[in-house]
Amino acid sequence: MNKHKGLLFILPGLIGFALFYIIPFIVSVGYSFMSRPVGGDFVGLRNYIDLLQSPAYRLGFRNTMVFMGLSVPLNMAFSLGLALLIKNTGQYKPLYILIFLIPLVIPSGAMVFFWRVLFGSNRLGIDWLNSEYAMITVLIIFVWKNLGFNLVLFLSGLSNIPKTYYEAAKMDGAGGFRIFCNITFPNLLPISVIVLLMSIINSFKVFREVYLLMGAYPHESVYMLQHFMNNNFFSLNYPRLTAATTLFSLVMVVLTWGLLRLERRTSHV
Amino acid sequence: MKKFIVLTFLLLTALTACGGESIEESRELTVSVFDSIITKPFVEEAAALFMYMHPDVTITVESFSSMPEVRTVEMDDGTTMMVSHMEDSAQERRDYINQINTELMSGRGADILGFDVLPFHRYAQQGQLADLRRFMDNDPNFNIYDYRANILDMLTTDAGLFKFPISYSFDYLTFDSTLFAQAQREFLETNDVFTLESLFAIGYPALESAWATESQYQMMPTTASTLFRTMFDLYHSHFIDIENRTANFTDGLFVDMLNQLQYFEDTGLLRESAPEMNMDTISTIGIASSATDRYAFKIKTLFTLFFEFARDDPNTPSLDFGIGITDDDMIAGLLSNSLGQVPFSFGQIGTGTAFGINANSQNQDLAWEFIKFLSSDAIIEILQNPGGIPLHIGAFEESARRSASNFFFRHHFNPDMAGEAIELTPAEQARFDAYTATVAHFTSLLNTFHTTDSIMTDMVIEAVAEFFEGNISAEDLAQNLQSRVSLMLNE
Repeated sequence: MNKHKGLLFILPGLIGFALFYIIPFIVSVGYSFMSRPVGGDFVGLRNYIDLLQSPAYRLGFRNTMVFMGLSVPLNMAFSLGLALLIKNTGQYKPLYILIFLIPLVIPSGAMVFFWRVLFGSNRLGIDWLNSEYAMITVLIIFVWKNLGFNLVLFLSGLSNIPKTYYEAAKMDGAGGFRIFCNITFPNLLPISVIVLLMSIINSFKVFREVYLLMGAYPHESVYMLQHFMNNNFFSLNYPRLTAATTLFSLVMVVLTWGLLRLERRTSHV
Repeated sequence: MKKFIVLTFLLLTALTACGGESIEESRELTVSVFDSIITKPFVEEAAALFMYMHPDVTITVESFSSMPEVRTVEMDDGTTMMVSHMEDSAQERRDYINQINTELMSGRGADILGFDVLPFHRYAQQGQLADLRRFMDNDPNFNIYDYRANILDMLTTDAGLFKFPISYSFDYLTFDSTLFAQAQREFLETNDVFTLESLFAIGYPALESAWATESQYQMMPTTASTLFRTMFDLYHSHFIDIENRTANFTDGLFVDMLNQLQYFEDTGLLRESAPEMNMDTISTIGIASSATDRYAFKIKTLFTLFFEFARDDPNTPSLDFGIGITDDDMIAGLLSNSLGQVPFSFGQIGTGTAFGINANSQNQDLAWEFIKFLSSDAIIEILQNPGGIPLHIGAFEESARRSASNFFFRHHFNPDMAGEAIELTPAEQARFDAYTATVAHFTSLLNTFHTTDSIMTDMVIEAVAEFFEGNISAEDLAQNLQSRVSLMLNE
């Protein structure tokens, strides 16, 4: 009975989630098998085949993967390094955390002007926004924006490691590197999986900054999957758009499921 | 409990799926256009006339663009002047396209869409527009030979005809007859179409000779960026071939074009860029300074074409178009690109708009009737300034005759008979006939319609502005556009 009561409590939320997420998603999956959303014919996997043959989709997919492969480790390394640096700063620790959290709360639109000024004119003789260097620009923006979030997560992970471990290691004469490898890193693994998952999700959100800074058609090195989807929405190619979102969702579900399993496994070690 | 949740879920799905409206027979039409200033009033007046003739029909006209800002400005001499200021907002156009996209994709939208801004080629590709050939073929009252058939032919693709223009437009070319030697004049008078490259090749030696005695000669009364727009329109399908999804900015033509235009502007062959028009400083800016300038060539819009024939008539008012001395201008012909393409357009605002029928419309036959009415001679009463040449031949002749008697040959003007054509004198009739013959001849020379996309065009124009401001080299810009436009075409 108590179990049923619990279900009743979550029912309003479930209805809202179903109405605004699940059902539209199911409808959009249906569109991905149609020739057009209104009065279209069933075309089987044709939209998926077209999608995978599309050079723009492949470019967006490749860039998204490259960006994810670069930004996630970079962001995790910087935030972990910073967390280790400031964890023992005593009374100044909240101040440092606040400083690194500020980028997270500044609206992306407000920062566009600053980024334009910084990267817009050919500084150091490089056209940062309209050349292959655009990827570096986006990486800088991503790390700047998401550093604080990961920092907080890592700091909470670090604070959960019992001090006695460190004291015992020091008494045994272990050095800093050895302590990190044998105590800090293994104990941070569960939170690292969460940080990894959040970083991957956040890496997909970088589209907002790229779009605001470089428009719907940026330099091809920073053309992301979200550009492809957004532009197909505006060009009314809904079947292809929904095929892309379905594939994207599938990849995200598998990735999240795998990472959550990993997190469960590491937390039981 | 699980069953309850599943049932709730299925019920929600069913409710969501039942969101459509029931289809009812009605005689209601909705027309959507972007432009609120010229196109909307025109369609509204035409709709009023149509509803008067068909009392059972209701037509609603929707528009999107904002109205111009109007201010009173005090001039240097103490007089006041009304100044209207209108932003050419690319964002506003994008917002309008987004709104229409959403409506179409939800299975709704206006019955008739005005293609002054909308990407009709995308709508046609996605099956969102009705093929107008079906209506034309099945309509016993429609005779294609009442219209400029070659214009409709150029708009028809293998997939069909999806937009029906009310009028069409093209620019024509004049030259200053005092500048050129006899041989050059003959070349300009006997040929019909010219590339800009050939004009510059003829014009430059003539200008060099003229500069020995007079210094106010220039090649054209336009800036490099404006002339780029003309050249881009001429070569549009070379640079952006929307139908074949190819971009071609890197074969050298684009770079040469930009560098050449910059050179022309730097060497004083083109008019220098005017100071930025600002409503607060407008009293200090005027076009009078150009009234004594002479230009080897002028690219003119159709607005002034009748004036070329009526100019010498004693009853024709003297007009200053802000393009220097025009008394010695002679018509050369039309502009073409080096591939021999002579394009025409509809113009982005005004009644140059074309119309198409939404494939979702439940009143397609009625929509066709209204589109046919919009392009017929029946609406000549309200088509005071067609913004181009009416596609309907009868409408064109009637419109031209009214313009002749009410504007160019003003001695006929009678306020009590305003808007009605009056019989012309034999001399005036000869000028009128020469004008209509020229329009018919020029129309027969048109051989290309470049399918354009306002978002791509805006992208190119915005990027080229960076070149003329010196922020990017022509080569880098060409690479940049090649990449971005290719991406856009292949999405």
